[in-house]
Amino acid sequence: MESNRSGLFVYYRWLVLLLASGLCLFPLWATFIGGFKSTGDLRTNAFGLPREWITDNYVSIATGARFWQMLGNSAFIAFVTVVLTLLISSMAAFVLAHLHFAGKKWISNYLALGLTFPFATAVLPVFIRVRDLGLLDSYWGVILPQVAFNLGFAVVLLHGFFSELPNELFEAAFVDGCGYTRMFWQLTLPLSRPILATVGVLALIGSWNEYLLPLVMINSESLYPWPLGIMQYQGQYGTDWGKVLAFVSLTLTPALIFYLLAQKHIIAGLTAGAVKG
Amino acid sequence: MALPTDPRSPGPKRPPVPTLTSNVQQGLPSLAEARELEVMLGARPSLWRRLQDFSGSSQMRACLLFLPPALLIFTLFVTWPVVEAAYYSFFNWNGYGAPSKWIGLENFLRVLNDPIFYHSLFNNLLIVLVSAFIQVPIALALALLISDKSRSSVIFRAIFFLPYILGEIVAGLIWRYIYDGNYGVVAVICRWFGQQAPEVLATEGWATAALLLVIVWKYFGFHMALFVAGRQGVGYDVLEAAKIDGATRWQSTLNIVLPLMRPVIVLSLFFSILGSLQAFAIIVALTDGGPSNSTHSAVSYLYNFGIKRMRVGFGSAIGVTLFIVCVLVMVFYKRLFMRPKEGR
Repeated sequence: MESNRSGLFVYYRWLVLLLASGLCLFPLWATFIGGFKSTGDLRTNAFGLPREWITDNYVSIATGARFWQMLGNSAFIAFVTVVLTLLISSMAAFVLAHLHFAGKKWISNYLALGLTFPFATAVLPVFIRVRDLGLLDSYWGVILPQVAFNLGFAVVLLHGFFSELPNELFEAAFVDGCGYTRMFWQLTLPLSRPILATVGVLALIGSWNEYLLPLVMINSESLYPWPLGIMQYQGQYGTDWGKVLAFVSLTLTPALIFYLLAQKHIIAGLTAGAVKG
Repeated sequence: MALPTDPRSPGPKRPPVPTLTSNVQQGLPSLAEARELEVMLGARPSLWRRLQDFSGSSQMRACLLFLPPALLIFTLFVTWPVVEAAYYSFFNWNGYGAPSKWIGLENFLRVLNDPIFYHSLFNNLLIVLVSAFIQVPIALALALLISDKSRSSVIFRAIFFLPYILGEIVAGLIWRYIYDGNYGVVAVICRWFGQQAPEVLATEGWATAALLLVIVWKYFGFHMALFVAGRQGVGYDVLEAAKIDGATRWQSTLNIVLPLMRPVIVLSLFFSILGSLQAFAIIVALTDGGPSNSTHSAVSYLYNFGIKRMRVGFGSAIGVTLFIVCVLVMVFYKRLFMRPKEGR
């Protein structure tokens, strides 16, 4: 009896999981395969393989300069954002974790304020600030506010991790005459790779997918990151869905490859980041 | 937003207990150790003493080098703009020149008298409700099925998490295609049954439901991953004991596992609220707030009626209102559900 019920459970478990996976993956499948279909094919055949494989959409996008330019823009913005976020937040977190001075608590609470409200509430003044600094319509107009808004969660996560590093190490280094700057570079950072990876992945995915900030800050098409580029492309080709679907499929490929390569770390990092942040 | 019951969260920090054995042999304790001794004995060094220690030390150099970049950039782009938003919200200003046309609370009155604003906030509430009553239960059920370490579970987790890492714009466009009344998947399915496909995204009510479905699709994997982490945190020993006592799988899940996972469920709902308050790009890509402004969220309302038209004063008033809503919601939620423990 017990084994029979257990067998039934296993059966239902697989049924539910496969069904859910299908619902989860189907939109992606339809998009990918839709890029190969003619409009007539799209109208009648949403689920199956194309009756006639049309590669024009994919080829013309992948050989065009526009696609690579916008991916390049996104990559540059994301890369600099990640590096600056890691550098600036880990330096601040190091001071907060290892040095003792008046007002320390106040500073760490101040930086944690960044966690309490969405970026959009302040986007207009940020726009005016960026404009007054002369950074409008440049990569930096996106990068600097992005880094600033990352600092809240980054400092909280790093501060927590840094405080748990074994104190004996730092005492030993101190006794040996190691200054704080060297301690930071040669002790803290190498020991903190897991948390740096977590913060880095959070910042990377956030920046790669960011839409509102570049929408407000960037005007020139040549500087468009992919979310802007893809919306513009969609506006241009409207319901020529074959083209749009091919474009969507190609733009999500880098994220997909990155995810397949580091899937375990990404899931662990994003959830751990969420729980501790 | 630290998970209050996370045992790993650092409690109050204790000063390290210095060991003076080595220095007893060497004679006088070093300067640093003398200070540590003061700390140990509970003596509070004078302010002058502390300044003396601090200045010129490697400690101060690290402070002066390491802290300012974060404080500067954070103040410049995060906190100061919020203060400025509060200031701008009292003006009728298009962003050029200096704000000069003081109109008092008129911007706020216009926000608070705009039915579209309330409808947007209502949509935010809908997102939270759908998350609480549909998304979270689905995510929880799936998480309980795949929280073990078997290979199939790892693969299923990767599949369910996948939509979460996609950009909101991509998710919105994919579903815009699926809902398309002419070329979309919905249209194809309708034709199978000989029906004329409805323009889902152009029909009030349906468009909102469609948006909610996309949100569930995109974000349930994130909640699932939280629950998997929570389930693994509970461990399996308790269940062994329950099994020996004759509890069925269902009983032990309901009476043991779920209560133990309460903190994670609370956290997951917290993220639903947070995410709802930030929902923007997915709406732009899917419906752009239409039809007739029925699918706006708070942020897309802000974008459409403030930023797009460069009404800085009005937009700032929306921003400030949204800020107040956020802070109130967060504070209340934390007070009500997240029990503070020792430490943070």
